[in-house]
Amino acid sequence: MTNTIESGIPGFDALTISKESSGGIFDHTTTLVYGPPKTGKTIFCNQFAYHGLLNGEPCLYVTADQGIKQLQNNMMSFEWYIQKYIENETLYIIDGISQLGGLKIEETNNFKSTTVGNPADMMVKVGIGSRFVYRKSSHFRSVLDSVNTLFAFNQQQLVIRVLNAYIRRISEAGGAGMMTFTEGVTDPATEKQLLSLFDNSIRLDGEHITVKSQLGDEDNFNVFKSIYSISDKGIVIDEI
Amino acid sequence: MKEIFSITGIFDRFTGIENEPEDIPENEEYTLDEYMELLNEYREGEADILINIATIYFQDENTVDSLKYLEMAIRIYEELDYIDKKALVMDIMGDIYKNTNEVRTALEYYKESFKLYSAANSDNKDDLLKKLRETEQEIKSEDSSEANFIVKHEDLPSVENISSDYEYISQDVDDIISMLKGATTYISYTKSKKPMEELENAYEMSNGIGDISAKATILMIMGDVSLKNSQPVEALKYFKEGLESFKQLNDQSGKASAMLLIGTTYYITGNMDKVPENFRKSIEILRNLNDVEGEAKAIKLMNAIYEE
Repeated sequence: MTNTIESGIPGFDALTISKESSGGIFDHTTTLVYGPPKTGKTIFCNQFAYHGLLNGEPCLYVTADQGIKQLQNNMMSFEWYIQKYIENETLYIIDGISQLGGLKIEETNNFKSTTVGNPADMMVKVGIGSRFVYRKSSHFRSVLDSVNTLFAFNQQQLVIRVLNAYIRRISEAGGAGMMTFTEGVTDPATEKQLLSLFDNSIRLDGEHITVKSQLGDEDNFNVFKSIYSISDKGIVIDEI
Repeated sequence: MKEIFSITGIFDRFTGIENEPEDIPENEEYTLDEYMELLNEYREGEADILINIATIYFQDENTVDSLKYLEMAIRIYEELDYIDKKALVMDIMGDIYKNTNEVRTALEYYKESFKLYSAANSDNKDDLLKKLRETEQEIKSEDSSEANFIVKHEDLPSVENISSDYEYISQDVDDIISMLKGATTYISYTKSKKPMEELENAYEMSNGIGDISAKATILMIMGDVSLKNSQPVEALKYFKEGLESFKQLNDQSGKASAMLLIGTTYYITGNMDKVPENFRKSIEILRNLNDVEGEAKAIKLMNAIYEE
């Protein structure tokens, strides 16, 4: 049996039970959550991150779409309160967007500011951040929301290399990484290339969820399908 | 050229090249100190390999790649704090430059090497001083009107002189660097306790992900920090590497900035004949780009240098 971690999404772990795993997200792997706009990708990742925090797993969160304030507000609308985890330093946030809007937020031990247009700086901070959370626990989660903004500010192939480095960094530190991506933001070839970087993928189309979990080699996948809905408590996987 | 070097045996002076770290027996437990020692041995071994590569390139008359690999070896020695070996590599690089008729650059390397040999109290110090005097004499013969290059050990630019020259223009240099893409972010690294370490980390990262634009900007800032630390030879190396990256990107504005900084470094090292050429080309580029602000900053820096 392959080790897994709880996703925190009701119904997801039951959906992904197989002869190889007891369900959930494979530990030490990376997952791309993708699909059309407004289908719950960010909510899925936030739910995953928050569930880890609740269970004492630190989280490295790179926010590229929304600033830290907006992230806190969005989490709060699902009653996921992250302030406590910022204060006890189990949540490490790299804010890639506030600076672009001219907002100056003081950096702390576990809050760093960067700009998505400076991927080298972002990666330096990811390196520092992953070491920070790893020191807290060798079991940690990492979220990058979203890859879209990186594509908007940088050349596509540069972003692929950045994400490759990011994935390597998280995998080496033993974390479970999740990133979001909106279909159509890049050309189809880059999108295909992007998907190939990850161990697993989860596609959300607003109604259906398709999970592909890699089993050892590149061509061997488990595929799970179901329907889902978004409630005031987050995403719920419904039984078909 | 091969013949010259087989006679002078430039690379033969490097001892320990064949030293290899001992094999690690499998499954053996090591303490942290032992691992650190082992790591240093491997890194030293890596530097030796880089020098071997440089030697092969040199034998193939490819001095550009030979110098590139020697610079990589220097970085390792810097990290390992092997001053003596760093001095020797810089001495060798000086020899290479001298044999490719870049005597002024050779002189800069000799000067830096001399400083390091002196700091390490190395026996090579006296030989290098002799070589240094010969090189300065050569430059003097080339252009007898330039008395600045008459060689006496005490005439070498002292750390104090370099510092005061730089202090006078440091704000203008910072203004030039601030024009570069992403500069604000990477300049913030200089406020840390170990700016060079942080910048090197960012350099490695930018290189690793192929972010050439960031790499070029970081190199410019590393050069600036080196100037602030009275290390003009190091600075020149960073600025030249940065210039190559800007050329690769076809970033004209970056190219102009790099040339201004190269010109400034030549001024600091006393190579006044190379200053106007770099400034002229830089201003020409900025003018073609219709970069009025950049041109004004360049002229301000140039005036500061010549007024001094």
